[in-house]
Amino acid sequence: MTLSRGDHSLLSEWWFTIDRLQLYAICTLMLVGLIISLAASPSVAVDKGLSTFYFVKYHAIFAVVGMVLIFVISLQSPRTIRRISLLLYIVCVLSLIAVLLWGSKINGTLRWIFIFGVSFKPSEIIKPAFVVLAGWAFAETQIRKDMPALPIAIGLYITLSGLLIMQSDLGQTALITIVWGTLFFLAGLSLIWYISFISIGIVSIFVNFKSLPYFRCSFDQCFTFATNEHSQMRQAYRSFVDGGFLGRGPGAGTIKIKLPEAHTDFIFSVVAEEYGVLSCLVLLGLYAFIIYRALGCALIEEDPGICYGIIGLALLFGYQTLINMSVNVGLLPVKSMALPLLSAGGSSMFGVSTTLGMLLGLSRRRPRTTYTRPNLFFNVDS
Amino acid sequence: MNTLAVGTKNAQSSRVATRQPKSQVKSIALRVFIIGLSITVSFTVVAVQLIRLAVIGQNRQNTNTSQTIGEFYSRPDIVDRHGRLLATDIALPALFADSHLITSVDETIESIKNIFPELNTTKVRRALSDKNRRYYLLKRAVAPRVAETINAMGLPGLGFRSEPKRKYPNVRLAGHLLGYVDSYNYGVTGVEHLLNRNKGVRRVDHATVNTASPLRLTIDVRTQYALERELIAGIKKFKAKAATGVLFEVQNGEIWAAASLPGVEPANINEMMDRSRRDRLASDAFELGSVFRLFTLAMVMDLDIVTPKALVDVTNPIKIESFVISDENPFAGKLSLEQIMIRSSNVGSGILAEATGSERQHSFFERIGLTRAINREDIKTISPVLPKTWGAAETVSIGFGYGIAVSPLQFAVVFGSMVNGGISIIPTLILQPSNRVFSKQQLIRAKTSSRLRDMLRQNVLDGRGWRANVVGYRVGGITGTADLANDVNYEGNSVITSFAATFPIDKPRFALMITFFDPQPKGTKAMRSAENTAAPVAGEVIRRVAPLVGVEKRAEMRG
Repeated sequence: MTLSRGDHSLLSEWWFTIDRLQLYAICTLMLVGLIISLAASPSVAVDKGLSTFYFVKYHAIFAVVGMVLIFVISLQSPRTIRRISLLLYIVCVLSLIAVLLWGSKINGTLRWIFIFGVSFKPSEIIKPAFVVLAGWAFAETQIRKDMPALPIAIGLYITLSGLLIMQSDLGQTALITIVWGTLFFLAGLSLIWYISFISIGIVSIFVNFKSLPYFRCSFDQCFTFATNEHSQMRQAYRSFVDGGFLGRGPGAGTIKIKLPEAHTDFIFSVVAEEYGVLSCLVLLGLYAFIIYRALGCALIEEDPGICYGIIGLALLFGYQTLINMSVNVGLLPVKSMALPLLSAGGSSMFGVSTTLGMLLGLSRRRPRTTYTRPNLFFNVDS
Repeated sequence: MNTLAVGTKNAQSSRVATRQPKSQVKSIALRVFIIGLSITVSFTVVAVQLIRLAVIGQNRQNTNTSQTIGEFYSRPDIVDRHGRLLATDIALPALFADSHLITSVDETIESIKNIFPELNTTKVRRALSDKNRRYYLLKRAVAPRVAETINAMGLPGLGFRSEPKRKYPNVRLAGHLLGYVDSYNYGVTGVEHLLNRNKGVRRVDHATVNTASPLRLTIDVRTQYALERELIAGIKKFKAKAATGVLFEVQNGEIWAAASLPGVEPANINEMMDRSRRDRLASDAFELGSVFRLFTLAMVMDLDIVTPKALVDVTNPIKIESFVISDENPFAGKLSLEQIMIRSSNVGSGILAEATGSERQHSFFERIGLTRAINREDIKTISPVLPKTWGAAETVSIGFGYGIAVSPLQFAVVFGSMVNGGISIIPTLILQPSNRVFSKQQLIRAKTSSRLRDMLRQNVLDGRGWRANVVGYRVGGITGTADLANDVNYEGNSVITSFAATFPIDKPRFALMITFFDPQPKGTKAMRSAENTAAPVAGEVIRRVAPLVGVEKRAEMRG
């Protein structure tokens, strides 16, 4: 099938307005995720008494579903995306409340809900919806004075972060806090606001450090990982050291057997051990590329609502990547945060696909009223 | 903060942004730029950490490659000069547990405990209760039949892996020479340590057959056995603490037998560490006493201090500094050089050493190799203990073997080079495929060597070495009885008795050195002298080994 510019079908419009380089990068990462899953998940599956390629099979299914999701969402107009976000936000907030009341425990934390026998993690899905809505609300503060936009933005944040803290999911709370704070900064938050915002963040980290046993435990593990031979952090660290620049070769990794979360949170370590740090750097570059492209798209976008949405989604994607990688290389304490596109897990894949679908959808080129010269730093070729 | 403040102002001034797209974009661009910068910094930090970890790994791999590949060493066999086995690798099962698969920790421990009662139960229980320990080594080198029994019990989570284990079929024979290996089959001392550098040694992770050609020693199992048997019999007969012996070829330095008794079993680490079983032959230095008269005589003849026909007046004891030196059986009159040897006259040796002087004595000892340790790849001896100041009194006492301590092996090697025509000897344990080539130095004149041989032969025929004579093999030798020194002084009651021999005397092929430590035989004090302990044992050894090493037996006029 060939597409032409003269053809004004939905697919053709999509193909010529989408940022194709971002799409290629996303597809590459999806593919890499499948390949790495072959290396990382069999040992975990066998350990859990499942069939060897249990996780590989599901990873493949989720990857296909994820690609379809990205395609379908990116077809939508910004207005539809905003409506989907509102719907998702409401549904997920209700689900989060349901989790608190009837949720089931997986790996010691209460974050999952079962719908029709499928375990489901609402906190993964709500993030992109929240970011789009927050971006829109912040934009409204600049455009329409008659709407209580700032209280809406703050309300969205407090609702979600409150629910997440009640699940003691501090990693996700930190993530949405950073993204929301950056959007606030972008929307012209005054300096006083910004400083108080950061100090509240720091104080809350200390309060959490003192009060929540889960957090303290993982914080301790982080800074004592050198002494505890069997800790996950220690094993992850060894993966990078043993792998060196070039890695031990596909399938030759041994540390992955000892990593209980090799297929999800510590997939980056598995890549390091088998394919080497150079491959890790290439992956890092791919993630950074997606973020920079998105920022570039945001710069030439006129509508502040869409612009903030794009930046927020890019940051959500970027900071999640950064936090996961930092944990893997021993820069941050252990947080259960999946690596977008690479880690196994249905909820995480749905969340990431929604994020990227919305990102691509919002950053599609649309007819615009005036011409603005693109910024030199984040140039998007036209 | 400046940029932030600027950005804030711009943003506030453009609150009505939709009407002025240009300024709107400008103000956002700055803030987006700041966000992009922070993202770049974060990604850079992660990238730097990634590279740092890889560099750590790279450095570690460079220094430590051998530590990560295989756990064990597969070693070639060690055989004697005729190919008889001295040391070999065998595969033995090692018992390990996979905690993950164990169904009942209690049952497992109880069952194993019945077979290995020495097992530390609390330690094992802790290890087996940890489900994440997929490999816990319970016992190394389990006998195959015991392994079968354990296997038959059918306990889940127990497994065996084949590990190489060094075995010594001759048990204690040549134990000191062979040395021992650690639990990873890596050589720690002796020939085993030397073997580590052999090309046949490989790192393996389970027992494999080593097909490398074996290391061939100069030792002969038969002569080694004969020497050890005679020394053990001697220790028993004379109630001695220990004994050493070494037999080597005086032309090429090949050692046919070397032993220090009580011996050690290489597979038994406790015996290896036992101080009373230490290697006295090469790793300990002693004052050997009047066997050193040979070197004094060699010195005065080789340096032409006195004429060969000279006579020495030994009537009066030597008084030097605060010491008085006299003979056990004083002789009034003059003695020839030969008689000084035969009568074992301390006074005579002392007078000759005094006549030579300390400087010349020192340089002579240096030349013949008594001042430095033998430090070869395969043979190492302890450094000789020399006097702190080599003065007149020391010169005299060294003349008859006090004030200088060397290992019996080093003495034997120098002794060999005195009788083989005066040529230096580099001792060896490793058999060379062809004739061994090494730089030979003339240490003393051939004529001096020949005169010394005559004296040694005379000493066996008419002197104190008479009990070492073996009819037909033309033995020459010299005795030495020295008071055994402890840390403070001479114990008075303990002696070291030595006999250094060479045969056949007309064209020496072999040298033999026998030493007994603190023999306490029944009878008079004279019974423990070298004449009655070391010499007869040396005679017995020569009687047994001479036919084995191919020395021709010949009819003799006397004896």
